[in-house]
Amino acid sequence: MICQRCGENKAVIALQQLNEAGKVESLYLCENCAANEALSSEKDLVKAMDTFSEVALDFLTLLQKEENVQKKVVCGNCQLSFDEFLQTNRVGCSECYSAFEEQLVPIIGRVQNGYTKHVGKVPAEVERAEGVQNEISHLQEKLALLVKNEEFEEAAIIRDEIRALKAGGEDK
Amino acid sequence: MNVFEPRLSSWLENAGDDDDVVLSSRIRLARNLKDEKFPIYEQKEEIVDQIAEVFDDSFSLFKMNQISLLEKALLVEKHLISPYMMNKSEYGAVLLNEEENVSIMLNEEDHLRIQCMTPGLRLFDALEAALQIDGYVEEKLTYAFDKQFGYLTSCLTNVGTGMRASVMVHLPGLVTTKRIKSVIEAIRSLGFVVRGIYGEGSMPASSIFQVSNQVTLGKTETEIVEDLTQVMEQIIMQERVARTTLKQKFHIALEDRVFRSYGLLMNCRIISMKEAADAISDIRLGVELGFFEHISRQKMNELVLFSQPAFLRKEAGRDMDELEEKVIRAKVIREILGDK
Repeated sequence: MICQRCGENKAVIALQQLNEAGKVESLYLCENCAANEALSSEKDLVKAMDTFSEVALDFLTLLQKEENVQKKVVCGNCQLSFDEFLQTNRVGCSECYSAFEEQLVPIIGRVQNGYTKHVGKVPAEVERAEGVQNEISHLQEKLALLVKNEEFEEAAIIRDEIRALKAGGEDK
Repeated sequence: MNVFEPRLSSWLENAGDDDDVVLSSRIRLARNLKDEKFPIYEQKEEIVDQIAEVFDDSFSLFKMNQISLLEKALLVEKHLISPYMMNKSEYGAVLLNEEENVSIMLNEEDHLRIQCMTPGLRLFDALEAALQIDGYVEEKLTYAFDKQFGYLTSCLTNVGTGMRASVMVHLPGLVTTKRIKSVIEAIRSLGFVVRGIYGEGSMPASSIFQVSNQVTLGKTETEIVEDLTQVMEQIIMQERVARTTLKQKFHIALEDRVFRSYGLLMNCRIISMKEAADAISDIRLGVELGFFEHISRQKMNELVLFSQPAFLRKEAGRDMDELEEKVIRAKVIREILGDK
């Protein structure tokens, strides 16, 4: 439901008011408009406060639910949940490291004497890919400079080199 | 390939640096394939074939579901596979080279466990051999790797380099002079782990210990190996000092203990593994101190290896009960020791 006052934000509060005919009428408002409404109307202030505390309570519950969901975080690749990891202390696949990154980093720090960053050997393929990436960025800088200086012939050559490097990377 | 025959692997047969104290060095690299579930949760037989294809004829493949329980146990006693692989890994396999100084376990806790062994304190040689195999594999297959966490492993204690460097040492001098406890504490405070000979969770037996790195992340492979080598050099020196002290101050008592153990092994008719291992440890010390001219270090390694349960069953050609095992053990030991 959209806020009946501003017509833009999502309504979070139903404000019950007596209308001119003496009937109870619900006014659906977003948080901002509800706050303004509460401040503008002295007599509705208490009612609005009540509504606000209800909202606050809902919000807290929602936060707690979020936290529970976080505890039940599951790796999208192998379907291992973080709870299951805690039972075996073994992750299920390489994707678990990104799925549980937030939870794993402190544990890794604890078992690895505070270290959390790899500095050792890198697979040759990764090293090559990094090398190509560096070369591409280097050539792109050069290209930008050539274009700026209107040296278009030279720029075309560099452009083709970049294309070739990118295509080479895709092959792998 | 006669890996199941009673013979020493090359790293137990040949001489190595500082081998009066150090029995062997080992480097293990844990690796996993990208996009595949880790084998601790799901084992795929085709992964074994996929990896085995990378290796040429110089390696023999043994699948756990195609060899007998006795053969698995022989491989465990030779330290070529882990007890975990023997007991838990249905689609596990191991690739072994002829010299038996390279063992590549497949579908253990990780997809690959590349292990290279050398005699004596030669961690750098083992590292070089392991990295060469690793480089060979990564040309053909894509590893699970992350820039932040390095090589991704099933257990967080292996992540990063995936490397465990370990050294097997015989420290009877430090044990007898009761200095072993403080030495182990000092090793631990430097970030290294001390274990019994069958790795994690096993009890130290017969003054033989395994020292390895605890941390696999935040240090390079070379740094880890350098640090461990330095620690080992300290331990070796202290063990030698302890042995000299024993020889000088308690010569007759030491000689008595060594020769009693020799007498025991030469004459007993029933012996348990623990009793044998302790006596072998004494004789090994005697050999290093020059008490026996006719016994070689290799013979000590043969005694340790061939007096284990699976080798005794292999020797006898049948299964046996506990008492019979002790009888056969006594006989096998007498034969090895008496054979000059």
